[in-house]
Amino acid sequence: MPHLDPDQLVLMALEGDPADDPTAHLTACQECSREVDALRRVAGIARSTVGLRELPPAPDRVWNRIADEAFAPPEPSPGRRATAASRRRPAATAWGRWRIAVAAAIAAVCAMTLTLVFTRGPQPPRVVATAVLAVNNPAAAGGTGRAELLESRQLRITLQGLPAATGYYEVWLYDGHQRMIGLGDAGSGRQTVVVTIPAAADIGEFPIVDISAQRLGQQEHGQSMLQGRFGR
Amino acid sequence: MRPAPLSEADHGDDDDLPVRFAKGDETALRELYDRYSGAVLHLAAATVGPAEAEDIVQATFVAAWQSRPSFDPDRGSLLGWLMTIARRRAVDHVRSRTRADRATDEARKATSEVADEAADHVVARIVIADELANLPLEQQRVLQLAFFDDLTHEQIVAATGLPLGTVKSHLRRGMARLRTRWEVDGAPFGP
Repeated sequence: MPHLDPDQLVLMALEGDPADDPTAHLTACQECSREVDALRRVAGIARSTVGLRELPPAPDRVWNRIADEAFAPPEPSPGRRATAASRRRPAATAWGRWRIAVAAAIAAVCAMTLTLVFTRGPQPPRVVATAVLAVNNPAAAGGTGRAELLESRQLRITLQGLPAATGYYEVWLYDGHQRMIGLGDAGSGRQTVVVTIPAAADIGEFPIVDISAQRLGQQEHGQSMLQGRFGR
Repeated sequence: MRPAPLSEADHGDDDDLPVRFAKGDETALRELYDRYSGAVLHLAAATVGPAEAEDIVQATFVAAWQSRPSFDPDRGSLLGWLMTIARRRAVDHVRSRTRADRATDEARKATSEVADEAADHVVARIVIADELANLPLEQQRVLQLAFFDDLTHEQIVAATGLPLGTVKSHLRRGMARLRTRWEVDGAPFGP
């Protein structure tokens, strides 16, 4: 039995059209069927790259910290390498250092503010498990999030990069089949919210966290944007 | 802040960044940052969460600079190598955070596995997006129509006016390149 030709394998993987396999070869041939599976996985990943083409670079403040650490003058003790490295230090570093000093001052003020906030507030609740929320819909391209299960039976949801909501985002627990529990508002999609899990719900039974886009007044689950799973 | 494409079409064989970087040219680190820090940030945010993602970006580029002698341009792409470093940093960070949380063994294992999976998935997407951007333009266009517009090969013939044989060969060659790149740079690495 001749194998499918490479063009047929690709078309099967991309379009899954049985007409490209008139002899039903794939059901009988493990080799070709493995090949189609591998190509399908590649195509699946490629289809999910919408929004990845134009990722903006990380902010300049991160670069300043990198430059400061990577090009820092080495400790004076170890001999030859240190001398060679310090000779190569670029002239522009003085300017870099000035900017770093300003950034450091700002960071210090932020740290003081945070310290005040945290020392005055109660101890933060312990995180029992974390699930990464990944894009589940091309409309959410570039969005990411994290769901943290707190020992207080609450979920702390942190979202980033979702498009500004036309209605609002909502947090759901999902059993992976048919049942969903709406837990509450996740705001505009760019902040951290804490929602409470009903006492009757078992996270083992509802291990999937879903973030949906809701229209105002919409009762049922809207459009799923991000999903992540605990315990896998 | 200037949005930079993940990869530009002119990062072809005449791209000298990998060589300059390996030689320790300091401007090459800045170029590497301009080109790929968005991808590293994306991977970090998906794995450790947005709040600590910038720390991972910093650690990744500093580690890349310090271990640049270990980068071998013949063995894989600079982006793939950078992703390996970032992935390890991010997953280690999640593990150490779980330890600090004094979570149960089960929760710790679950968290670590979720982080592993998320990181693998993001790395695969990033390297395949990069390879797609590096394909010859006509091949790239044909694959984009198949992936993003969900066109069949016959619809692609109608949309582009290219002969059927050309469309099929673009699909076959383009898919082969994406697959090879995925196997070289996107396959999961050891712990």
